[in-house]
Amino acid sequence: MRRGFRSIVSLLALSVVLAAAGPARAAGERDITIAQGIDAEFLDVQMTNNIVTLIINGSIYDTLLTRDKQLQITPRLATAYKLVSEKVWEVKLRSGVKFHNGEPFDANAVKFSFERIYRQDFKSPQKGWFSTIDRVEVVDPTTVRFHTKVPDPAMPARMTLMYQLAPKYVAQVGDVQANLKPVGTGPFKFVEWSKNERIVVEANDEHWTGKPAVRRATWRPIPELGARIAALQTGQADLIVNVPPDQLPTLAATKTVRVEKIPSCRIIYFGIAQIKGGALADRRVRQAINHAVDVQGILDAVLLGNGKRINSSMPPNVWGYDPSIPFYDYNPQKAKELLAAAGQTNLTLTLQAPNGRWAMDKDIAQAIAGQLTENGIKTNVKIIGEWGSYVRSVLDHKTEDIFMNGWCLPSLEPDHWVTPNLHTGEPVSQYSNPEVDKLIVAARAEMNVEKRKQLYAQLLRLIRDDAPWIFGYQQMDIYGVNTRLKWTPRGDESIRLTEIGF
Amino acid sequence: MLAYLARRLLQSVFVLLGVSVIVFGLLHLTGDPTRLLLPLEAREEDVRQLRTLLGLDDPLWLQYTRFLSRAVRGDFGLSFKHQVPALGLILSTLPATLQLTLAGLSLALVVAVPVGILAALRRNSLLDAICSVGVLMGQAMPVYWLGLLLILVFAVWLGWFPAAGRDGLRSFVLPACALGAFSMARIARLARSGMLEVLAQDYVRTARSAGVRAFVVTYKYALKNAAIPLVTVIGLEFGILLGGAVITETIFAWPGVGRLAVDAIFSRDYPLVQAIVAVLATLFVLINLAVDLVYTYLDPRIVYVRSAR
Amino acid sequence: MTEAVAVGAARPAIARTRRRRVSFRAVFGITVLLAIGASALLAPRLAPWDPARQMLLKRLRPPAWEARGLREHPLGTDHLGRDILSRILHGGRISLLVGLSAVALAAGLGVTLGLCAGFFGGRTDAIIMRIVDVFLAIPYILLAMGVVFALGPSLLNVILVMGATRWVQFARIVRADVLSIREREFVTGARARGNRSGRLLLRHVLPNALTPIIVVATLELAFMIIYESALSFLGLGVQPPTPTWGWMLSDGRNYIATAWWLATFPGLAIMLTVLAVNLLGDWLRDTLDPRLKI
Repeated sequence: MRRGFRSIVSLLALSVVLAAAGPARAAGERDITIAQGIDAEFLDVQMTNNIVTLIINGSIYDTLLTRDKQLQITPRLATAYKLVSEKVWEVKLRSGVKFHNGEPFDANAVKFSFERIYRQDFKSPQKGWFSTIDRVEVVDPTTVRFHTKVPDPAMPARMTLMYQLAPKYVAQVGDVQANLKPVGTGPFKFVEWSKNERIVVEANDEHWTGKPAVRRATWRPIPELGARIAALQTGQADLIVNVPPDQLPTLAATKTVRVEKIPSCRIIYFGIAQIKGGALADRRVRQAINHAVDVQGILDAVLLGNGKRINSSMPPNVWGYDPSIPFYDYNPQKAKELLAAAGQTNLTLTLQAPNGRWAMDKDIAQAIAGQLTENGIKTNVKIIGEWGSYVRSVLDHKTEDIFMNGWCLPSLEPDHWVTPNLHTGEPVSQYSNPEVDKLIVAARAEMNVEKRKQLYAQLLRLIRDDAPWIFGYQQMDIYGVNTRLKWTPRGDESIRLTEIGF
Repeated sequence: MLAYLARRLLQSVFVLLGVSVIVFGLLHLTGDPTRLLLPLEAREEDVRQLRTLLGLDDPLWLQYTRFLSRAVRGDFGLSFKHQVPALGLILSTLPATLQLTLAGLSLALVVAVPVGILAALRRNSLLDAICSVGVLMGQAMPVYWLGLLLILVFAVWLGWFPAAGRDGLRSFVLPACALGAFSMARIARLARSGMLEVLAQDYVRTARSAGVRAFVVTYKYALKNAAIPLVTVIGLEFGILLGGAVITETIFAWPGVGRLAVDAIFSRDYPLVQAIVAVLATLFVLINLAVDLVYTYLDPRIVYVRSAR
Repeated sequence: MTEAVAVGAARPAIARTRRRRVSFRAVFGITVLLAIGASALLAPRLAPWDPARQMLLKRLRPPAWEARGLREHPLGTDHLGRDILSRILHGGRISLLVGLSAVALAAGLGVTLGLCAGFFGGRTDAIIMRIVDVFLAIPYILLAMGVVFALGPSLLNVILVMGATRWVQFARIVRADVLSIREREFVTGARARGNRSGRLLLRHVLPNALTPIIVVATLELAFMIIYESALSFLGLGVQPPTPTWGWMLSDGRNYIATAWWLATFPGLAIMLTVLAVNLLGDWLRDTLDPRLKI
């Protein structure tokens, strides 16, 4: 029986050895590994609106237009576009482009890709992105026309989100397979996907932008921050995302690693649920709240200065931003005066925040609540650790008096920064102001660029004065990079493999 | 023997049914997942449409019967989040967890059994005390703390092992240590007490006094009998290890079922959670069934004792 | 499966040749536990600071004996400038409170069900044992996560969930003991005399089953403390600003390499407590009933 026992143990050990999955081939000089916090949800790019998934898909699929390093719109699969009439956009497509399986890219692919999102049975979260488009008309193999329901100055921005799928391929293999074995026109081709373990893509040398410097890229999900940083330090990962400021000293100590920072498109703010009425409906109270919080001080203490205050509801890297709008100064005296004028000297509020969704979120929330309490507005904190519940409370408009929120949409379209979170009745908005609504609607439809800019400047100033939020900050995206890579980050949270060199 | 086997199988079936009821009922307390699956701009009609599509509007008993009838055929539906068949997803990630669990269990056995035996041989000595406290410390450390410390010391400072992920044999070591540490105490204790019992037996004393080398004696005669309770405990430890695997997999970015489960629970991915618990429970039941059979083979008296009841 | 473990191989009688001497384990275990219990009870008095008070200018200060340390913060401060020592003292209260309550709940549930199963036998026994098997088959942590998730994380829910998933150990051990006691003469005799089952249970059976219950309870307490910290780690434990050791560990996990004191002290606290409880449980088992195979 001793033998029996021993053999059981050795059998176990043997099976472990045999079954242990090793890498398929030795990593080369030009192979890189990127570690993010989660795995891609889908490799069918139209099934997601999650930034991490979009980043990974972005190496495999191309969009009609794209944004360059300075976040200006430039051609990609579409070479030119123009307004034919108020509601019709004509787009010229690049010729000679092929999908990874050899299928040619043409106007039919554009029509197919657009219509697929709006298929009844297709559960795409991107339906909201293109809701102003009525239909796509194929003029000839390299020309399409988008017919919009209303005049839509945001069309170019929308085209930066139109990922192109291969019609014949998808029709042939079906949705499930199209997700597991994606085919696009991108600079990288899909190789393998082992769920929660890795996604491997390799360079597509036939891409019209030329041969990528990176030969092979592996995307790894490492949720635990400590392990992710350790992976960078040991060389297991070449690039990691979402490094909180507190970890900078650790990375500074490692010679093979450097830190890259960039102001993000993501803003963090604290919405004040004005529609609840009572004290919160009084603008003076809201302004007092803004004066009672030392945002810069908290940024310096908690985020070690890695964050830039915002003056209204848009960050600097979104078109429409107006730098002349003043910040609320930290003025507890003024806050007290405003509260007294509003007759609200004994105010008690509750502030809610998630845990771990954004860098040091619950800590900042607690710091702000602490400061408000010190300055005469007793504030309790409610941390909702489970993200799903948090989202629900926001979408159902059932939040506490003050709710923390982060905001960034990949379109970088100005309307997306005011409508969903400040227009009356919108999902993320617990604020209602008819004047603001009027300006939002007007700016949304204004086709003249100059006039549109003026409208947004006006709107942002009005928002600032009416204080529907505690205006927080623009996040600083911090990345850890191995010194062997030549790469600088982008302001839209995206990582483009073609921008990585050695 | 056959009657015994049949009885155990029937019991297992009832157990699995009970599991299914619990899992089903539990999940329907968690609330509405539809909001999580739709974009921020979704209207009420979209929500309602999705609910009907997913069958969430039907009465509970109907949903349960539907669930059960499909489950026995292996159809747990599509995972809400990943939009692929739930069972397939689990079966593809299960090997990783099983490998880790086996590695952890093996490590625990390899370390704890000799330690327990050693402690038994040198009973009540300082060595005994050190061994006991040593393995108890392993059980006293929260597994995630241990895991992070292991990463810090052995991956970052010493660079002996990779920090995360599954990449060849070396990547098994740290997670297996973290996972196995918890079980070591229990196993060592069992080995020790089992060993103590056996050492007190007459036939062992006789063998020792007859001059056979102590080493051979212990390993040849004692181990067999000490193995019996150990074998039983392996079945139960497996369940505990699976529990620990959930956290270990998160720390070490291990691509297994544990991580999948955490993710599924947080995103209210009903079909996936149901499928995961069903699969893990079935696995547990099967393993314990196997363990019981091994046990009866080792000590057939059990069958008679039991059937006498 | 459950029966096999309980009945086990035939139990040979061990001659109690152990010398009478004060056991190190018992002394250590009881001392540590008393110390922790005392500090937990007296936390509001002992703690130098309010555990929730943030002093942002003094964040991430190391323990007092290090270069940048401050006298008034002997164990340092965390990333929000909260005093670690105070948080440990207050955290101990919660950890112990949760642990003890959960054990009490689990014991209550488990002992009752175990008694019923063992005493009434037959169908009741079979049903209860199957329920036990069901709970054993589901990984406890997934069960706990699911329930806390559904009901929302709070002190009460955490206690409920932990108690409801760990009653199994008590049930099995009590049942096994009841089964063996049942066979004994005096019980059969009492029954023959016509005593009612209820009184029988309480007067004869329960006192004898008490020893394994105490042992299991002690060992389970250790497990509960770790269990609670695991739930906190996953974000499902008692919510802030209430400090628990588990949350402190979770908060500190990103600072293990830089501000080691954030995670190390709560980790040591957990380890020490659990170790003490385990040693105590071990000693209790060895003294009261060494044949227990748990």
